[in-house]
Amino acid sequence: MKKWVKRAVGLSLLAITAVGLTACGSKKSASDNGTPTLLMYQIGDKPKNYDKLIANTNKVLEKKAGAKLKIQYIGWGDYKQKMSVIVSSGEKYDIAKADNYAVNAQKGAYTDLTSLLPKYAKSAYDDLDPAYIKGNKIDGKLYTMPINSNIYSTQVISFNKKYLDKYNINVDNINSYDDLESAFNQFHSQNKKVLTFSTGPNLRIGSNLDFAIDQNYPFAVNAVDSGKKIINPYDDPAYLATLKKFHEYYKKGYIAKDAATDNTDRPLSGDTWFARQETQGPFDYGDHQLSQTAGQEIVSRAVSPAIKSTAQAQMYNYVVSNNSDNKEKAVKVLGVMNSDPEVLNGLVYGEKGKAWKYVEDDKRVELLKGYKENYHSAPWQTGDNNKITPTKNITDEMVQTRIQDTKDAITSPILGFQFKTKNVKTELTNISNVMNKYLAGLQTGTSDPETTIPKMNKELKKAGYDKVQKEMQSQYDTFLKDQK
Amino acid sequence: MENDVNPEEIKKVSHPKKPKEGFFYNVFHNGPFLLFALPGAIWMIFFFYIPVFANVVAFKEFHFSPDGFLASLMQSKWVGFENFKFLFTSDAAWLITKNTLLYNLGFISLNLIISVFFAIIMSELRHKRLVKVYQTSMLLPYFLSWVIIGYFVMAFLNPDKGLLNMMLHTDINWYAEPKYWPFILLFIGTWKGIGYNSILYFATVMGIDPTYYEAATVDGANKWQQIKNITIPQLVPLMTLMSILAVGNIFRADFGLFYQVPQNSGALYNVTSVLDTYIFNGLTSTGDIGMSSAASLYQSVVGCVLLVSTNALVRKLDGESALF
Amino acid sequence: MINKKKKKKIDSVSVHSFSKGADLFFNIVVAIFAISCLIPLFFVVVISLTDENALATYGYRLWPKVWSFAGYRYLATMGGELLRSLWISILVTVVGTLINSTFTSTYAYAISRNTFKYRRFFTVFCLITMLFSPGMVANYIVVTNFLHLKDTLWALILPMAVSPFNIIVMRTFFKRQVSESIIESARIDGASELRIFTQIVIPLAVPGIATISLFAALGYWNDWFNALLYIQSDNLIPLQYLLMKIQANIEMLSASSGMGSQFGGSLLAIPKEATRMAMVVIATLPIAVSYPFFQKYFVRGLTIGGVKE
Repeated sequence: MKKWVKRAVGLSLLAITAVGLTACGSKKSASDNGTPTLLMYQIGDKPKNYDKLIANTNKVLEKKAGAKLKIQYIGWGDYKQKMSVIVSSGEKYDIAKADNYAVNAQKGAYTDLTSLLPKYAKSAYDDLDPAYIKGNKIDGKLYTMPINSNIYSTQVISFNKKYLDKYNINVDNINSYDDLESAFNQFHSQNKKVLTFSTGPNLRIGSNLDFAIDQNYPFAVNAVDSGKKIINPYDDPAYLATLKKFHEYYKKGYIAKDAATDNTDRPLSGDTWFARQETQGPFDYGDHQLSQTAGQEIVSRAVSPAIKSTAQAQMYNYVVSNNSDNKEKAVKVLGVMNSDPEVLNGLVYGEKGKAWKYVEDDKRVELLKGYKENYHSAPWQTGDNNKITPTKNITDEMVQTRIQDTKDAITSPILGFQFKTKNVKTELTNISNVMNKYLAGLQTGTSDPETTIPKMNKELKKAGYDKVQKEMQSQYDTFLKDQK
Repeated sequence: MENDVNPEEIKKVSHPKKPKEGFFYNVFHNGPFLLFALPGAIWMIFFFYIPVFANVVAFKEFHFSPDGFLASLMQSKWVGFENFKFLFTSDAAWLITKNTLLYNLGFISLNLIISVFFAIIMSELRHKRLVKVYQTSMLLPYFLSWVIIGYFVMAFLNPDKGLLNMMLHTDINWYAEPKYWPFILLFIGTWKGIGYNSILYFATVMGIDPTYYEAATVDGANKWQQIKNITIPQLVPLMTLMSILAVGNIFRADFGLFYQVPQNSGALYNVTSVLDTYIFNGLTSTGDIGMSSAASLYQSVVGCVLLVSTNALVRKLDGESALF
Repeated sequence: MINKKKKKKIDSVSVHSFSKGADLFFNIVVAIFAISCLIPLFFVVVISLTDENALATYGYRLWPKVWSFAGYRYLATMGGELLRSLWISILVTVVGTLINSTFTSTYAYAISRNTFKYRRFFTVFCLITMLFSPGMVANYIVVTNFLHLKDTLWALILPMAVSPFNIIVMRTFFKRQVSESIIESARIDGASELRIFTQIVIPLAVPGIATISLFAALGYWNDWFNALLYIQSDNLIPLQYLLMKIQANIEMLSASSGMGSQFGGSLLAIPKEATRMAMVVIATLPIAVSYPFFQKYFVRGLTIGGVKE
């Protein structure tokens, strides 16, 4: 017994010392010589060569913004939770990717940048697609420096080129979900082993509608007809027709039987699927980006119009904390990050000279051997995509198409409408619960819209749908009036 | 060392009861025990009694202030019970409350019976080596997260590729048939925790004074009589204790079990919706800290009331077993 | 002390054992249950070795059609990180368990004694903490602003340094297993309370202490949430959190299906299911095999219990 006690005591002393040592070793020294170091929270994994990337960035930032940057990365899965704790607890930070932008901005978590941006980040601000500014204003105030990237989005059905060739299926005439029938049929009749249409509980069908809160709440307007009325999408004939079509596909076996609960991953790079739904925007350059990510050729057909929506405008918002001690410098840093090609290229492609070099009079970038995964960050979460020098395989023609497409995209009438939930919080929570019950089933075609939707609408009504709709309609009317 | 009474300690123990020989005499007299309780008490103050006051946010319309959380808390508008409304006004409120209660009652009784059953059997098995193997394997499910168990269940119940449909030659879409799920959930929830729960009872059985059994053997009692008259009575206090504690948490459900295992299938909501999943589904997109702490407060208060009443009941029946 | 009294020692094995027939029957019952607990882990191991594409085509199977080590290969690419996290996890678990079982037993011992005047107060004081929850944000502020523990190992240890549940359980243990008369006689012999506790009470309560230590160890080993909240340095990340992060990345990806082109290739290249399962294997085995160590004390405690007269 005694021996046991002695051993335990010895062990504990040893272990406590070890903790002490490890703790000491982790202490960081904060250097300060006039230029403050700003703390920025970013989503994702820390690049393996972070020290080099940030040193390169800081060289420019010190000169142009008078500040240095320290980027703290928080993983994809943790970001929401950790950021909400950081924001709620009032812990100090300077810049972050906004989490739940509209809600937190309304609650006062972020600095009002309406006047700061034109002053300290002029070039970045001026080059934003106007839809970004409109889509992010809350009560006339702008709380963010959004990243100029995919301002519009469109739902596409992407096909595995390998199978298209193998079974000689032509998809050129597909322009809607209805048109998919024959391609699906051709594939399914010849290959039953591979899933025809890969979809899952988190996918939402594309349509002419734009949603007022997000796609999980049944409040939408018709974006194509610049709708003035808040409608229930499940009452919209076109939307309903698509759902019915999905149910048909489901019954015919094109969609997995367990689609509503299935989280099996069918990698883009694999051959376990024939068709799937993807979202594309201008900087995808058609199927260029998708094929590159997949490492195999992919052919996509758009099934919904290109819409500039609030969701796209708020895709990646940088915000400045309302408790930052260096608000102006933070805005300056954001200005540089969204305008300076040297900073942007350095972050997006990695180390210059090692991972990439300029070609064609600095108008294009050629990737070198040193360009590796985890050694750079993704464009859509770094800074203005327009200012990033494109890679060599993007032709001038593709750039022109991109610019034209962006011009042609429909601007949703509801862009910039921020619903104030204050008076209907309870009802919205109830509605969210009702929707959770039915969404996955309807959106994957698993449940029959004919019988499910009446049931759902009845429950929605009980949850207070009409009250929310009325409140929203009146807020939307005011919003439309203010637009003029 | 015994005299070394922390001044903070004195403040804390200012108990309403009138001290017989004066307060300081009492503190001095109980010094060693107070010192034993001190680290735990300090921990509770820091990790519970200070932060717990933040629960007032349940009654507030939370708004951030640049001066930190405390300032935000003070300056936010008082809204009374507004944040609690969503728990009661919906149509589903009655259903989820009923589900939560019934499932938890099921778990409490199943856990109790099966854990004690296994603990006793394990203590009586002849091959002690084998017992180690059994216990280690029974503990394994405890380490698997609900997500993983969800996959495992899926491997059995998947309508297309699941093992169960293949073995039974049936074509049941398990994730769309609510009638099976109360049993599935009760079974899986109990199964996962048995290894962990039975350890406590096992340790207790092993701690029973062996002379009791010796005496019983001398008196000619058989195994069953020994279990009935020695082991179980010795386990009763712990069983009571565990039940009282479980009642305190009767309004909390294991989120993972009810969310991950049925794959959040909408078709099953009528039997899988419990308070915790309802709160999660309702609040994830808005992330309102007022409403989420309102929900947690509601669960706590109900649990507290039930615990106190259960304890009172137990005290009436058997004073020794009561918690306080 | 024990050895001298060997002849009088009453052994757990001798008092607890079924007759042969009953033994066989119950062995079968328990074995079936134990196997049902082993299957999922077996299943996890198998999936961790299944080819990703085969998984999508044939679904989960207890015996894969195509084998693959891709999951482990992926984890091996971060070997150094994994080992460092493993070390952190072990450190936190060992230190945490020691602190937790000490604080928990001393507190429980105090409130288990009828001679302690304030036992009811401290019992309720502890009980309340089990019923209410202080909320994440408030806890975060205490740890970071009051205690300044952010990004230290103490932030992983202290938030779990006392378990109210275990206190209440231990209180029952002490009440049952350490009778007042033994302590009283020691007091008469002039032993100090601390001496009584370490020399008499602890040995008598070893099964109980082993149990709560096990519970504490499991708690520390499985904890990733405190790391999520408080740890920022890469070199302080415990194993479970490291795995949790990978897992969360994978889940994030499947949740945002349809955004394929926006997530760079790095995440897409992970063999998701296999990696996920390989992680479970890595995280479960070290702690699972430590169980027999604790179990030894359940039995040992009994033999000591046996010599008390």
